[in-house]
Amino acid sequence: MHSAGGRAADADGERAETYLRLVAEAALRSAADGRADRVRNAADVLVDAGVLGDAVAAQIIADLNLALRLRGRRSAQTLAGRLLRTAPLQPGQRIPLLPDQAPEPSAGLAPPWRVLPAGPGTPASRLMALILTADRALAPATLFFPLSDGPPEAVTFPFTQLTGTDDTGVEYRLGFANGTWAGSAWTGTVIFFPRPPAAARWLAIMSQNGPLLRVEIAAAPPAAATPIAMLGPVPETLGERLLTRRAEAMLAANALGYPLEGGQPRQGEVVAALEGAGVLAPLSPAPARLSALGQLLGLAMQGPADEVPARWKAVMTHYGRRKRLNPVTGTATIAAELPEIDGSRFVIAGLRSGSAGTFLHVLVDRLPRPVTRGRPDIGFSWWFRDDADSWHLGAVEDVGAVGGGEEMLRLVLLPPLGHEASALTAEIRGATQQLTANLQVRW
Amino acid sequence: MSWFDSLPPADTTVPCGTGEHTVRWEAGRLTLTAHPDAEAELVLGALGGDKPGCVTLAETWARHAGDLTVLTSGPRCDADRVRVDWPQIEELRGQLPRSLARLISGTRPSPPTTPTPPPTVRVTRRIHYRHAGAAGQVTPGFSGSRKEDVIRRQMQQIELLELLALGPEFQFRLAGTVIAAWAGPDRRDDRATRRPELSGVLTGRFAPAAQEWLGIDPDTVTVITHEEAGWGSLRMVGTGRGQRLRSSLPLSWLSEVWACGLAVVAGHLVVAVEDPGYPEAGVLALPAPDAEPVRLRARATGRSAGGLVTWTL
Repeated sequence: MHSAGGRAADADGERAETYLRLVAEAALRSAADGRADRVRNAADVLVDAGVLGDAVAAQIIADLNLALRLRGRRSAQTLAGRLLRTAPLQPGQRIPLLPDQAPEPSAGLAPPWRVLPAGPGTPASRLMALILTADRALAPATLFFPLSDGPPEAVTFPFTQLTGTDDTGVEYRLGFANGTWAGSAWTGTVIFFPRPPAAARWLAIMSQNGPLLRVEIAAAPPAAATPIAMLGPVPETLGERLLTRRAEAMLAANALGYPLEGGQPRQGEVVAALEGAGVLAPLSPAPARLSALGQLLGLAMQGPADEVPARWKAVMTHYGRRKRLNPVTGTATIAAELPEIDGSRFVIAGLRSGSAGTFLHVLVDRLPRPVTRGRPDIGFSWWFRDDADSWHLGAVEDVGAVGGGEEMLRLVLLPPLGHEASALTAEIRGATQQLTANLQVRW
Repeated sequence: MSWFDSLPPADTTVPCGTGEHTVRWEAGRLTLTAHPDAEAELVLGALGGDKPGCVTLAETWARHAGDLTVLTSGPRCDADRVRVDWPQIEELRGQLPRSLARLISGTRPSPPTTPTPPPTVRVTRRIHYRHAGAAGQVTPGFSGSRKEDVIRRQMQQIELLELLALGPEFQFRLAGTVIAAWAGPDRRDDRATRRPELSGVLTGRFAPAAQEWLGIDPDTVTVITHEEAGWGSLRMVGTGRGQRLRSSLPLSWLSEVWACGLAVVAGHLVVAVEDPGYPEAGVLALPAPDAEPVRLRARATGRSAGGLVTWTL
């Protein structure tokens, strides 16, 4: 079912494409206009499951729409965004089954990262980790701005006063990305450009009132940033993975107060498309599991409640309580560079927790798919078990560019941490590979 | 023996210059009856003169003679009517930059001339066409910017529409031409790279034929490409509402049988044409799903409104 390279095997993609083309043929035959939209929905599902490339799906929908128009029929809702990303085709040219089938990600020359755990910085302000990329340094951090630097609501004001320097006298251009404010505290990613020289012993962000944050570039041993991790195959098919991700999206929506079903194809359509494409077995428990969760969340679905995994129930139960414990407050460093998973690289920099919740800051390179707007779905599942054996779902809240090819994810932990956990076990699941890593958390 | 031996000639008229000219399809080739020396006109066009619409259309036909995209829009069965008007195409062409619109066939000044074979000459053109893919088609080359990509798609779509505007008889003949380009034994490896598309092409056309033959729901028909010797296989499986028709047919069934209007003749499903010809052809046909195929002689009786030749036994 899965290839070792962390992506769907050709056979899966070919079967999915065949299925979608046959569904399109059936829609063209049918006198009922609504069937064209079912093709669009099936295309969305198969792309979402990672079994069919955007370009192929868009081409099939475009071909169907043209065929329908030539017959005086209503066309399916377009995949305009996808079609625009479709590579120009020549007559007779084959489009790749999956967008990332061409070069093997691990075969490319990934720019080296160096991840340094942060020691205690300037009082109040706190660095999570320092990540040296090919051409810059990224510092996810919480910066506390003294009131004398200006009112916190003047978001851009404090940054214009800041400069970056190091002990060798280099002046850095600073960038501030993906930030959020809580009172006078800003949490986000500080970008130092260029990359600090090897001789630099510390970096500092200076304000008019002196150093706001000083980062020791200690000569940390390479192993310090590499957690104990186990990489293995995902015990789910691509179809089951999609249904699991949908369940996790429902859990996150329930926790964050979003609508539970926003314009998504109905589960019956989803399951039919996945079965038709051969990535979901008819006897798979995944559909029943999703239905059971939906029923518990008050949706018009039915399933056996005992199919719902304990960790899902734990998240649900927390948000079902009328009174909940306040999240712990603080910033913690993790600085863990994870092994490549499904072709993507991650560094878990650290977390910031407060009344708004607990947020994990993760650097990523080579996401397998374009990030969707709104509630981002990057195709990975994130679960964390804290040192009190409580499970937390990681829901991607924001994906922001930080220069180069890298992006910074902000994951909200659901539920938030209620105490200063000293360890987290991360379970990250991609389309075909999963990783379990033990993370040390230093507050 | 060619796939088109069971098809009679077909004529249509196309806008060319200030008038309309007849284009004839005969024995697998387009003939431009009004342009006896299309090659010379191509050279003149390359030198900056106006190229007759008929000539450019014949070029477009040749360029898409192996293009599977043609099959995604074309008719699936006799009852499936695909309508394209020349004014529609003019309107679309009007949305293109003027320099590019000239390269697509259509209404342009053109001197009247006499019949000639389809142009197959190689000439240098102001926009270079580049070969793409195993089928050996060519299409205008651009550097690949977003705007140019959009224009390229528009041009390809206009070309496709121009071919479909030739009418139903030509639509089936073009489909047969494309399929024949893919169906040869030497293209087996190429077919393997395009299995999903070919599966859609075959199912989309065989399912309506099976419906006409047995009255079954076409959605219950499964057909795969038969790559071995022989005509293939066909059987009913399941019972009641779960009953399905499973079959395997060579891709050449589409060109030799379906495109020639021979799919279902007098209650028989034709699975192969052993002795192609017009107005009489020798066919191998199934009277029922589980029966052995029988050798029969089919006789042409005319032409349907949908553009297919009609036959009887």
